Amino acid sequence: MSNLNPFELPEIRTHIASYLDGPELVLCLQVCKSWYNRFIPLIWKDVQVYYSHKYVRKKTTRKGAYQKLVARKGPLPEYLERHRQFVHSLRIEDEDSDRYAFNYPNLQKFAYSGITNEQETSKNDCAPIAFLELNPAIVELEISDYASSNSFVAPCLKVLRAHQHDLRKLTLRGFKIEKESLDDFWGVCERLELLGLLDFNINVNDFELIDGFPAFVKVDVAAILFTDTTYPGLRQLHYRPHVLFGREGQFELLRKFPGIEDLSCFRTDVYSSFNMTRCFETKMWSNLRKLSLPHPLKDSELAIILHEMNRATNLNFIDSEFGPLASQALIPHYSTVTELVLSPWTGGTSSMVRDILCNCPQLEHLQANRVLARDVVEGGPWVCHSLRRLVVYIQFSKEELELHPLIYARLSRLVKLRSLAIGLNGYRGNQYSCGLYIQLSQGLGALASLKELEYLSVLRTYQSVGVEEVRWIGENLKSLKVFHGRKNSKIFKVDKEICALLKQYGIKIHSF
Amino acid sequence: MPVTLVSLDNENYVVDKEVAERSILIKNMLEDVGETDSPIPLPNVTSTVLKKVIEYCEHHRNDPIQVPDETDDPRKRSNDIEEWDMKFMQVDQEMLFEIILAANYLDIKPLLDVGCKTVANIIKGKTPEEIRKAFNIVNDFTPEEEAQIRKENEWAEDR
Repeated sequence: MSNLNPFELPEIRTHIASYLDGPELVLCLQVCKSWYNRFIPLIWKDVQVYYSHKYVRKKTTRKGAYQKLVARKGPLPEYLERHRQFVHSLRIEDEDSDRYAFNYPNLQKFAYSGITNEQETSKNDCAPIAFLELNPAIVELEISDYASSNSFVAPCLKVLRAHQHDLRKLTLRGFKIEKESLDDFWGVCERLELLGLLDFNINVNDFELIDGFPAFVKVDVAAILFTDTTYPGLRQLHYRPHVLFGREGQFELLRKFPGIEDLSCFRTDVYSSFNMTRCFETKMWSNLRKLSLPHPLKDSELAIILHEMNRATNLNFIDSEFGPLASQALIPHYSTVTELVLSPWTGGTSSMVRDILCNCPQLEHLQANRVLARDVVEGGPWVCHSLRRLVVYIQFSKEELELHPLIYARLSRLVKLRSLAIGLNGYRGNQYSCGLYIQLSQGLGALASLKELEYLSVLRTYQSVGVEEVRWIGENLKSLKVFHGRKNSKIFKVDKEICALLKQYGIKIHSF
Repeated sequence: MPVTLVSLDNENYVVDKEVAERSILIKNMLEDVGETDSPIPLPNVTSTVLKKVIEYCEHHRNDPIQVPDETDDPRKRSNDIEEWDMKFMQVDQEMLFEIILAANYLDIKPLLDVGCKTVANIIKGKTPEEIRKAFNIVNDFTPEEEAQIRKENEWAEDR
């Protein structure tokens, strides 16, 4: 085996390169021809061409007068052409896609966004038609088109349907479907495992207005034009409808994908009248395991969704009202759930969080509300020994100091924890409260078992951490990288000494 | 139960099973053959390197087994090497390369990580000329070629 240089093995070379940053890799290229050949594929594997917009204050004036600086980032088209064989993933943001239209023999993933041209000149030239025709083997594609008129998605869909037979993942942003391209759209959907529809809408002007009804009704009428065919091959849907996309249309659209395992809905700023619970009441998604639904939902609505789901693994109900009904409906999922994101929420109680901690053995990520220390120390042991991320604000009253060792003892058994946030995370304003004291005298020492802890947050809680505590943390929590607290609260009372000590242990202090 | 490992140059090393099983290759071998007294030949590793690898495995015998982590930051850090490992890696370059290759062959992920981090740290902060010196490499580029490489790949510097 001797005389073999580890740089000769591609997997080791990639491994070494993973510890180097961009400038360091470029320097490696210049070392010699053999290093050049080894590192060049790594540099060109993932390429992005985009415009960065930065606002910089002019030097001559003190206030106001920001100057917009636009800088082009990424390689020039001619260099891209020369190294195209190495490109696996390419993202282009330009008004002229033809400049990059070469055959990239190993291209897997392509993302394109035409820059919204304010003059709206010859928008169709933006369409990456030539590019797609030259690269029929793309597996993953993302197209963004937020232009107000002359959408270029329709010609793209035509090409995709005719050429891209390997396509499995498609994300369309700002996509406005026209009546005549519906056919192409469904034709492409037949091949997909993942579909992203962000700001999806149907071009209302294509459909006839029913007298006396507001515009969104037209869109609902469009739904009737959809065929009855379903696309059971689709496993993942990322979904954010355009605000004008009506209820019936949405329901009809979602009904087309009965095989969904993973549904992520994205938050819209505008109130959406669509009620997702209807999809669950009709029991159309029997395979759904992952659901992210960051819309405010009522307790009863969450309960319906949970009731109709089968062995869920990932649930994100941020901003909803997770109350007694939903809590009850979560019970059948206790044995399978790995991710639960519930806060910020309304309606939840400490005992609901306690029940989750005591009954969900697979749980890896829990984000819950504030709980009262006195409630969570009760009950059986916490069984969630796989927890890696825990966000829960544990609140104490002044008379409850004796509960500290009990809470510390419970936390100490969550040995897989990487991130522990027990402060008032995500709250604004000058709210402060009594949380877990980071004090050796209160039982901090128990946390020595958290060997993998990288992040600890006690944000917005009253603390007075001393030198002893910091020394203990540095010596015992070897993986800790960030200690998050508020600097000018009592946490770092002897500020300078403590900060220097933390720095010495390689721990960063984040503070707002 | 002890396990006997045999190096390329026919040296025998008797180690605890727990130590030998730091190597996923050996662990899988032992699982496949079940209880056995027969020595395990490692025809890709010389005795000097094997001795070093065993030293590492002895020291880390009680570490938790690393599971691959998908959520890992793609850009990893190389400045978090433990003190003991750092001292362990203070060897000449030939040995360093041999350890990396052995760790790769024996499938000892943490040792491979430390080895690759050590190499990355040698590269970091150096000019191409300094890198050449560090790895004993002769420059076979003309100044024009070097300039062209910089020009074509400049964009990758602010990634």
